[in-house]
Amino acid sequence: MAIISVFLLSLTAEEIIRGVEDLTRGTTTVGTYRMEVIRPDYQNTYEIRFWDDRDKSRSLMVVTKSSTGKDDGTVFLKNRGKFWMYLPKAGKKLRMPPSMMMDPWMGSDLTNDDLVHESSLSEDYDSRIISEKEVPHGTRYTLELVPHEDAPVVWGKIILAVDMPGYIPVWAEYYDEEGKKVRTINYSEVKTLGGRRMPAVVEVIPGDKKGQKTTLTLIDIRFGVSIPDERFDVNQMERWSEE
Amino acid sequence: MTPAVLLALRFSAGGDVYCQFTETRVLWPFSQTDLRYVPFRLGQGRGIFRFGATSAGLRFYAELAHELYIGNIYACSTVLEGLAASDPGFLDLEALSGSGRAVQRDYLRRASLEYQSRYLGLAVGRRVLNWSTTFFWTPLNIFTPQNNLSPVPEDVPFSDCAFAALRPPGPVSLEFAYSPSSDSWRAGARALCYLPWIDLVLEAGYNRGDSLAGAGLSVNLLDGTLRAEACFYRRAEPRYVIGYDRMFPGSIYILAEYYHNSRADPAGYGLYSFYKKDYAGVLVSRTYDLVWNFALYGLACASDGSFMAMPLIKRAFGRGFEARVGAYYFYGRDTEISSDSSGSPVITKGDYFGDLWPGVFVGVGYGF
Repeated sequence: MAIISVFLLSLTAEEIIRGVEDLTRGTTTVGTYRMEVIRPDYQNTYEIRFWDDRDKSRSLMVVTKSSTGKDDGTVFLKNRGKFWMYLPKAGKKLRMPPSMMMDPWMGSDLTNDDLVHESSLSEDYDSRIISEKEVPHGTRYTLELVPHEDAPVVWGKIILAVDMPGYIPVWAEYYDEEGKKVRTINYSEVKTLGGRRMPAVVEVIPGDKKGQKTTLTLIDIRFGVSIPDERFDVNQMERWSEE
Repeated sequence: MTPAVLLALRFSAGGDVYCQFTETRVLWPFSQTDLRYVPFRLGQGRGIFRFGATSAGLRFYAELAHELYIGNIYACSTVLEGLAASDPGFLDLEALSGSGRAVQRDYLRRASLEYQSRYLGLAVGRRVLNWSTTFFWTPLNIFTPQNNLSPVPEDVPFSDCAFAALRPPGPVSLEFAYSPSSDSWRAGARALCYLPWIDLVLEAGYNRGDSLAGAGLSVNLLDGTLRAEACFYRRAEPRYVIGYDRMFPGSIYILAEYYHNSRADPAGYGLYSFYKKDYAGVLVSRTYDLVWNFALYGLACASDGSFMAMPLIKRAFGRGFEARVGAYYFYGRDTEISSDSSGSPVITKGDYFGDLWPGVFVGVGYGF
């Protein structure tokens, strides 16, 4: 226990942030999650398969099932900072405007950027520890992250709570440039997924909208998987849509 | 089919239903010299059932559609004329019936068998074959052309076709398609190249008696995307489209396109009298909290100054329900019929967006 305490004392904010990113993303990740978009009188559910190659900054998402059937087979691909979408019902593949990256994705409370990780907490933000307190299984660190001036993000700052040891994110609050809280993310149901203990449920709650939230539930995830280059090939998007 | 293959099959099924009521007026010929606006009241119902089965790169997909139109005599006559003039495809798999105030249509909307592998994609049957880069006007889209100048948004059409895609390693892929039809045939080949900074397409083909060549591109520019198409026919004149779309703060999406159609008949008569030289189109759209979508479409014919505006509001509710309400407004001179000195009728063709009366529509849909 003493060894762990000494280790924790020496941690910097940057190391914690990097640990959280390594925990939740890994270098390569393959998995499936269910996304529920909840509004006061409307609800939509999507099942999404994803492939993420963090080192080469590329990711692929396929909507395998949607409750309305409208979005089944829709494919989103990010590669080298560019973004394409394939719409099977229209039979059309589109190069997306970069300005869409910060827009709500499929009407949810998440942006495209949240899902394809164009920005990185460890690379695009300066971070510092603003508080720490003891919790039943260790220490909870609260960090403040302020984006670099040229970072491709819309947030003014992020406050993130992380439980150590384990780099388990607990909650995050996102603020706009005027300092107004615009959304809260709660992480819950910590369990072993893909050989790692991590939160299985991520709940995104917009700051000023009652009865509105988006819940992501990880169904399966594998880390460190070798993903062939063809998975991120624009020419193959139709194939992944029908897979 | 062996039990192992059957076990590996993954089935999917779904569908949607949609009902809409439209109220407007149409210009109706009562005689050779008498054109008058008459009421157009039309209730539309459409149900689509989808079915798919996938296994080891093979996929079968089909959609059956039933449409019902109920309205006054002018509305149903207009619908019947439109459906009778539409391309039935290679196999006419459509049952159209109706008279008086009701028209019914049952048809096979999609039915295709597809195979996908690393280097090869094959498909045969009735499907969407969208070869467009732009949105409002798509001259390169020869297989499933959509009349986006129609004031009434059209369904995504189908093409009875055989299709092959070759995907060698690298950024370039090749596509080939052949589409027989009851009256003529179309064939095309295109090369697609996706580079980090540009998407390019080069196309050559044969479209109902004329050969063509063209090119399209998409490139990210100033946080948006610039898209363009150029299409050159051997006998007909070329057509060009250039457009730009981007998302603005507040989730406001704006798309603007300009279309130059050299095919236009400068005199405004003859075969191409309905084609003008220059058009512009704008879409401004905002989705609010997933449930509300506000959109304003504007299409203008720069050659004659006529235009159309269509505000549209959509509201989602429950699980899969959607309601929509919209309106059309048109500005343009109507076609006129007068008599010459000998008493013979003389037709003065109106503007592109002439002969159309403002209208409203409300609709409800459910997807599952």
